[in-house]
Amino acid sequence: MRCSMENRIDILNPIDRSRLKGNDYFRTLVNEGAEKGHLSDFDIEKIQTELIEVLHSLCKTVCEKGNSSMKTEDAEEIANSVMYTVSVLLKKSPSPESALERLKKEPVGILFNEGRQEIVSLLTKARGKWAVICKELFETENVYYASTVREGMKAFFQNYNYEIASHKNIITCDYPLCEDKRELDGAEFIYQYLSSFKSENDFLNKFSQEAVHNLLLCIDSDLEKAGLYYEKCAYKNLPVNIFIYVFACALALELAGKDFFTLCLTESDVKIIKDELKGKTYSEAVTFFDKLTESLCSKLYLCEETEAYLKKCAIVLASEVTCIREKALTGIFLVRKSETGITLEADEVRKLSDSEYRFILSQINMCQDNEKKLSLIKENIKNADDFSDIVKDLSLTRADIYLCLSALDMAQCLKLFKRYNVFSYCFSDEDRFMKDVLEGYISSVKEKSKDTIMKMLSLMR
Amino acid sequence: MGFYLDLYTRTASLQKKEFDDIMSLNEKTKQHNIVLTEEKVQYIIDSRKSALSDMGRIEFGENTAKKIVEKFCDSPYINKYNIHTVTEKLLEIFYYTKNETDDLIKDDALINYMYKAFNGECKGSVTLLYDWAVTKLIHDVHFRGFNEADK
Repeated sequence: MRCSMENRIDILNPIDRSRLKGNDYFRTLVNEGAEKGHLSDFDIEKIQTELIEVLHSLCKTVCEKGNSSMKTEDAEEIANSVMYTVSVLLKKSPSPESALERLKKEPVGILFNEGRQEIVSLLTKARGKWAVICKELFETENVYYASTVREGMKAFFQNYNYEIASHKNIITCDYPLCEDKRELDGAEFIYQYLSSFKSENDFLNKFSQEAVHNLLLCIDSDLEKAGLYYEKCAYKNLPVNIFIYVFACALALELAGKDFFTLCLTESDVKIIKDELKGKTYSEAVTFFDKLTESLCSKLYLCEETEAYLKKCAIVLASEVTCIREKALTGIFLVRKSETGITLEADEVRKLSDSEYRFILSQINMCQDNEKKLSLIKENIKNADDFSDIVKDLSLTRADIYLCLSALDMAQCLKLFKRYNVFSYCFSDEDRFMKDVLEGYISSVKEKSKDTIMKMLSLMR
Repeated sequence: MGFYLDLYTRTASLQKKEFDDIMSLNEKTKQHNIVLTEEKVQYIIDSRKSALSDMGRIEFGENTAKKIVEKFCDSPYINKYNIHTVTEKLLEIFYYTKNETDDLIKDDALINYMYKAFNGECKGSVTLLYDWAVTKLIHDVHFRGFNEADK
């Protein structure tokens, strides 16, 4: 113990790491170094002069032959790129103090060249991760999820110029991640984004597409409760992080001792987690979620990188939960309103694939006889989604719809009633027509059945 | 001393080279009875720096001020009394035109155009050069494309 104390080298006036910015590392490091006396005025002048030399040689290559000057704003962008490239290398130093030593002793031109190699290596690794993600991309209807990775990243790799614009992100990465700090730029940002995305994707791939979809449908009821206008299946068009809902749900189910693969959380499950968190401080909440995450990970067989990421997300979750605890926990822990199982098990009847649907539609269209047409619909259309599509595609009459509805099971009918928000306002003409028909249908059934339907619908809301 | 990257910073060796480059033109300018004194050369260097700063540009390649002095020293409208002040105005017009034409005209082509206009229609007036010749050139570059024959 004593020996190690003796061997330790204390740094005088250590750099305050909290003042170093990830996306402005070079400037903040030099400023901090100057403030703490690690860099003299002479050192700063040397750095400035060498930076200008690198900048001048880069500008010469960038400018077309025959031009000896360029706009300052363009030169500034190149200067930022040079500083960024050097900082990518400096960040690899064991400490900010040793990074400053390098900056003092080595010419900026050499550091710049080494930084470029670091960026190329980062890009190679990022490309590798991107390829893996694309191959194993979790299937979800959220438009931002796939498009950010497929189109967005493609655009980045095609347009990123590490020579003179290494600090630029090129793309906005619309899909938000759970641990989305965005403190980095350029290749560093993309590498970090893809690493986090891969971990989230790996985690989501452990769950079934349907389970995740059903869970995310609960966002609708949250929006409804908040009095916001929303489209059905709101999550499809919202830039929301899917992972956090699935992760939170899985943790809550793990705590409740239930099968977390179902992602079917009830009010009573949330109450358990609420009780557990009662009176806990932020750090206690972090420990609580950390342990829960460990227990979850042990059952999911995830790679080390993903496990480490989940632990970071557990901290995010803890901070979110401690912020919202006073109000409710349902913002993150999505609860399915119907505990009767009607809404969710409605998806047992599989929706037809596009090709199957087109085939059936063409068969129906070929029928001259209306009766045959209706029997074909009854025979093949069993899912509520397909049903509403066929009604629109064939412009079925009210009487035809009544006849076909009898072929759907109760769960599918309820799903349909809910979709058209029966007994509330509809915006489009098509939806209004369908709503009218469905309301007519409900009023035409026997009083007892009508009561059952209404009870179930209220449970579903 | 905080860290600020001044893009207009020039090392002492660069400044000396710049000075010597323009001074070396004396051999040529003397043929036209123009002597570039140290004061005049320093005036031109300072004018270049301020023109670059005013026009929001930085120069990293060849010395434009040297090129302009070299080209214009045989102009009938330039003499030993006004060489530095006319060069100052010409530098401003040069960088202004580079900005306005989005660098579509190469340095040498622009200097040639300015030289022709200055000695021709403008009759040695920098005001006319700016108001008429250069404005026409900028218009042509954007709407007609710069004609190589204009050089």
